[in-house]
Amino acid sequence: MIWKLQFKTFLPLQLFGYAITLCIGVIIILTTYNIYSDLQPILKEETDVFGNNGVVISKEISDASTVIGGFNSIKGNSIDRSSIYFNDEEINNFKKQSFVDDINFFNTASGFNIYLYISELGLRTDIFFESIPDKYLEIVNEQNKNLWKWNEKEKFIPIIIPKDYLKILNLSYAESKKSSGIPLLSYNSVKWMKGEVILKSRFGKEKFTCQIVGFTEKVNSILVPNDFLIWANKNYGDDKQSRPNKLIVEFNNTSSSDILQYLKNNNYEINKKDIEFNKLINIFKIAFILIFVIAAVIITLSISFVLLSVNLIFQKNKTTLINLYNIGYNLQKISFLYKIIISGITLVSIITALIISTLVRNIYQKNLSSLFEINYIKNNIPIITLLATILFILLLNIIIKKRIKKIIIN
Amino acid sequence: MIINLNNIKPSYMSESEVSGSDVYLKKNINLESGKNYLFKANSGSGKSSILNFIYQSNENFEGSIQYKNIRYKNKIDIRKNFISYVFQDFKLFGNLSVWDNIKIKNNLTGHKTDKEINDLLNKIGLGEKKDSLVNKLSIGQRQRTAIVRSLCQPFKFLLLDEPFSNLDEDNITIITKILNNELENKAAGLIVTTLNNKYLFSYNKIFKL
Repeated sequence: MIWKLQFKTFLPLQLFGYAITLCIGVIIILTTYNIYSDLQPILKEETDVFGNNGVVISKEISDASTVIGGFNSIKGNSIDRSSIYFNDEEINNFKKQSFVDDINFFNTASGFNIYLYISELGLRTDIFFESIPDKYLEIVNEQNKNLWKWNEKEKFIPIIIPKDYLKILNLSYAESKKSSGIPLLSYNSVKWMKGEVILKSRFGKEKFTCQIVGFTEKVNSILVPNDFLIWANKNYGDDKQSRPNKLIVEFNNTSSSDILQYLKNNNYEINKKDIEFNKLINIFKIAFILIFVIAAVIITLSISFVLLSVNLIFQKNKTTLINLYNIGYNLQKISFLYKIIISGITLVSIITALIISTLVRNIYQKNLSSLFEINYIKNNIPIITLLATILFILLLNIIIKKRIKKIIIN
Repeated sequence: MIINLNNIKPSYMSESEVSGSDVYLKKNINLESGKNYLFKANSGSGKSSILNFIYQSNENFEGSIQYKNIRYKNKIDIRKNFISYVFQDFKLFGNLSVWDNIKIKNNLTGHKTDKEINDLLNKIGLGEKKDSLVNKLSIGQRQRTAIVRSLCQPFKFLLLDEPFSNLDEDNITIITKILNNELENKAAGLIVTTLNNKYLFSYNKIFKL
């Protein structure tokens, strides 16, 4: 009977408006998040290196530098080796630029020889090693941080190589050694392959096993753990410490025109594709954030709207609520129907939004799959959404109960 | 059940305003269930207020009110099980029918069967009006509806705030009889407020407010 009485107090159009706006807001938020998370592998070029805004910068080596000198000096017709290194003053000056967030540099193996043997490929070659801080390596995360670890006692070196090297290996090296029966290799099969690395200098010789654990499209170098290279330079190198010739620079705003101007003024070289790509990512991110904010505003407005509407219902039916309390109905019973109706509408709206956004995701995933090779990761959005909905409904119930209490008790 | 009034006074009234009262600012007045009490006064003397204080729908008073010889959890418990109240303004729901107004209380307590409610409605002459919206009823019909509703719960005290102000003699006689029966069956007490000198029940004590 109390329901019959309270049903008459509802304003169906307002509740419908709440349901629709909440549903639309949640669809936009969920779809935006789904698209953003699904496009991450494309945006990051499915690489194990440089998850963030880092780009590699080196000094330009040109005929001009041999003649003009500038901050490089010349020795006859050859370029002075010291001209390729960044000194502390240059790095500090770079760091001070407003568009720079952070600068780190490549560590290079220097002053000793490195030999690589991979018996399965019949490969025996001189190679070089470089290292960068772990934070730029996507491969180093909580799940596989043990993979990128070097321990002097274990004599094992994990290695990351450029993706292009595998293409060279398959399409050029294996082709030229056809008669030796060298197999064609996939990324996964190479990851399991072990080899042998020998370090040799006037200070001695040492043997290690090695394994390729990842690939990169962004760094054209063979990467090993930083700890290993510091140790190797100290024990086998002449300089004991490598001098930086390549910097990893993180920009806070890659769309700043000052960047290219600064690089040009200082004869620094950058892969423009990198910076353009970073610009694109930033534009994407801004667009996503914008849509996200708009959806959040829609949801906030819709929630404010329903709370206002509920408040209006309570104020308009103040006497009814007070009379119910006076004839013996408690707060729980008086607020029950309002809580059930608002909670039900909220739940149905959000579940509908969840279903629609999942359908939209399936549709665009099919389309994207025909254009890109993407391994879609199963996301936890449905569970998170449902948990957030439960919390939100609990909060709404508390608000409704408090507002009714304020009316009937005061 | 005993209702103990101790030194009570409406907060909005001065001591001089209640100086002649038999109830306000008096120590340890005990109202016992099974007995009938009349609170008599002119309008504006706090007649409704004293009932509202007892019913706990108005706590704007000084002093204390205690409910003895019963076990209760909260004020809702008192309203559902120990004290029933016919309000001066009835507190009915105008957009519900007579029947629904009564059922809304009875559903809460489960105190009477539909047949018992129908019988009561027939006795007080509202049988044919039970499906009418309360908004469409006369004041007297509303008053009778409120009285029937007040009987749809267990109680140890029945509070009547100017209960017969809008009723004719015949209806007063019928309702008085019904109420006396209910009070006797429940061994309940009665507290009535009135403006006039018509004593429709036999009172054990009359208080001047």
